[in-house]
Amino acid sequence: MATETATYEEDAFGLPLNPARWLMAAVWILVSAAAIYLAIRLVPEFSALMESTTRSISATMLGLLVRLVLLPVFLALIVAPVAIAGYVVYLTLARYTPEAWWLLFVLFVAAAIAGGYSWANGAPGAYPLMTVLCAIFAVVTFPLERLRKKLAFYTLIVAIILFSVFPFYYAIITSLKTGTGLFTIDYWPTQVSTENYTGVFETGSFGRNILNSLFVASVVVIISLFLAITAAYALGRIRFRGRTTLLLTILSVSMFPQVAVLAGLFQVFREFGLSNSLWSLIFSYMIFTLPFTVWVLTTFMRDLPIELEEAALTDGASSWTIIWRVFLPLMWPAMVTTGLLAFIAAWNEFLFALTFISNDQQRTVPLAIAFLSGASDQEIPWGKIMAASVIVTVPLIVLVLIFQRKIVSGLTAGAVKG
Amino acid sequence: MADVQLRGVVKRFGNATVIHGVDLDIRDREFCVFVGPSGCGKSTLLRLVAGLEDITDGDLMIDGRRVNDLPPARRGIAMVFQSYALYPHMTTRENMEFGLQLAKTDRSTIRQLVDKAAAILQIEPLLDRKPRDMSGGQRQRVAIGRAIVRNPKVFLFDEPLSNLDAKLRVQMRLELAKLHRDLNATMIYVTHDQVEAMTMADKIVVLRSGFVEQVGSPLELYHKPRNLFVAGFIGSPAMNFINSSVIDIEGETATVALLGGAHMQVRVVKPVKKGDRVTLGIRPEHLSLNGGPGSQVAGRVIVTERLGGATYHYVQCGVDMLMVLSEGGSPIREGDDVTVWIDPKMVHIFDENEQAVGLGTHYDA
Repeated sequence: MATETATYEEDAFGLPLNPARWLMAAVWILVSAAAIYLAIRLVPEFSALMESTTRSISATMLGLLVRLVLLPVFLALIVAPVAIAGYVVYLTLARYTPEAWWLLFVLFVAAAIAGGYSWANGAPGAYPLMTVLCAIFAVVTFPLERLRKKLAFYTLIVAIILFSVFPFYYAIITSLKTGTGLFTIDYWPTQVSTENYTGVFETGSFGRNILNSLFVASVVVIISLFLAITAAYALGRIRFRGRTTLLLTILSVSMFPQVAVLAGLFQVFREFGLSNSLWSLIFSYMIFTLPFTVWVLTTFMRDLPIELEEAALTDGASSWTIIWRVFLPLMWPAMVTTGLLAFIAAWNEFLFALTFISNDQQRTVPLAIAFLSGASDQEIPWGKIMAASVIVTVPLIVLVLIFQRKIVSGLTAGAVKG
Repeated sequence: MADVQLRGVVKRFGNATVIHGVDLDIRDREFCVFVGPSGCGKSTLLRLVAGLEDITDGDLMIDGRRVNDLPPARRGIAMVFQSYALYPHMTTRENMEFGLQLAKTDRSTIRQLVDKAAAILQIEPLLDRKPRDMSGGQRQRVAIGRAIVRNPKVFLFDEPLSNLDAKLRVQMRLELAKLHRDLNATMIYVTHDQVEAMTMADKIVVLRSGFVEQVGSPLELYHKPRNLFVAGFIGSPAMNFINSSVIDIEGETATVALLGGAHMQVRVVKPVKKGDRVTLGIRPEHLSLNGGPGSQVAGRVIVTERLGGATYHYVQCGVDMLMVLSEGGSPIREGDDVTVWIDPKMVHIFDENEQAVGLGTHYDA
């Protein structure tokens, strides 16, 4: 299958691929490309026209507009996807793959360039997508098996990285811009200024807020992991009545939406004099961190070989010793993973913090960002917001980088059997 | 060191009884093997002795002391697990030290004990390695080392060799036997492999579905199996069985039917009646194709397995297939018509309840 290159004498239905069908394919391609070209050229002009004519417009003008502008635009918008979809179907059926995909890809790109396509147009967003799809299909169907697999793999990786990293990258670029530069669309850093970063720390108490977040998230992680690991031993290793019920109850806690417990918790914290205290956050964050830490660690603990525990028992270990000296060292990967997730959840939490904290000094970072204000009420300080977002994301990235070595599976290798 | 006594030991999981009142005496310094097919309760019995399972009923005594309610660490036992169960995050030395540390032994003594055990097992070069960097055989040694340093009264082995390859298994078998001699310790060993049981044991306990079928030395079980199950389980290759019936009985001598109208006179020690259905059991090594004493049965060789030193002939005699052990250079080939000589002195007889009623004349009652 891999080495099937070049020409096919017949298509998937066993019909000969005669000139007429080649013509059909060519028309398909040309129509698609033309549709893209048209759509790209017409959409911005159409919107500009709409903008200029909406103020004073007569009925005849409207009719003219529909006939001259709207129809061709929509025709292009409809014809193009249909034509492309049809051609894709034809290609798939005819099993005539790589070269056609490349051809299509090149044609689409050419049409887009000729049409003066800019990402900023936004409207014909389907076309870049189609182009990318064509590229992916072309790569996937590339005839050389190994090269093809490699290419497909790296194409996927690039796509995923682009998808996940681009927003952050864009935030960084934006955070380095000032003034009107904020409102132009650039894909490369056009100006580099640290003004936003210094500005963030000058207003309010952002430094203090970061420390608050750090404290809250760390304490939440420590307490959650401690409680979870002891609970996991009981839930994963000891047989007792109502174990499943207990596990399900713990899980069901995480099903309540935050708003459901918000008012009640607020009352509780006021009673105990905890409102405006970071401890109220620590306490409330465990509502959502504990269920999953307990569940993940329980599952993990249950999968550790029972003989290890029995060996420790015959060695004279108490339950406490078994947990801390035998199981804990084996559970690092699970603990790091769940701990990190708990940290991120606590670090990003907004609603509880907004409700329980009203004092600028006690605010956590998400609140601080939300409360960043510009020179006037009308101005949203995008630059500062982006700078602050970048600053609060960095600790998370650092944490992941530190612990990624620990997140290794197969640490139990060698415990039992070969 | 210590003797182990079980008195009416019963184990139930919920409503399922897996050990039905086992009585057993294991003497000091004895190598006792629990053997039986899978699911017979041999591992459970060992775990009861270890204290990893609670005894439902009955008494367990180690060194004359009732230990039913003691935790494993205080019973004076050490266990070697089938999967070795080494602590994967600890080095060999740390693995061996762990139990001693928990027992608050002082450092110099720990060091001494570990070094001594390592020397016995020749694992000194492995002391700083972690389990994942060791082969199966090496892990096995470390697991045994971990048991030795605890200086237990009783060693418990739960199928310790079943994860090793055949060659290593034979070698470790030898070393375990040597270790038993050197340490002078009581050992209880669980296996499903009757060869291991025969070669290492002072005393074999054959178990089936939670019942003790027979207890005895390897040769006792070989020569005097108490029932059909033990007869079939002990001995390799396995015993041949022939369905038969009692034609005549006169005192202790019974005449039993053989295939093709032949019959044979055997001694019985328990009463049987004329017409009783019985099963005759005879080991492949007690059958002969080249003459000898006893009755004759005609048959045809279906399959011949040549091992070099010995030859197994599978002989079809009517409805029964008899396996005959011959010398390595046996000239008989597949398809040959042969006569099988059955020595009545070597024949075991079992009644309808599968209990032995007669054991040939080599049986000295």
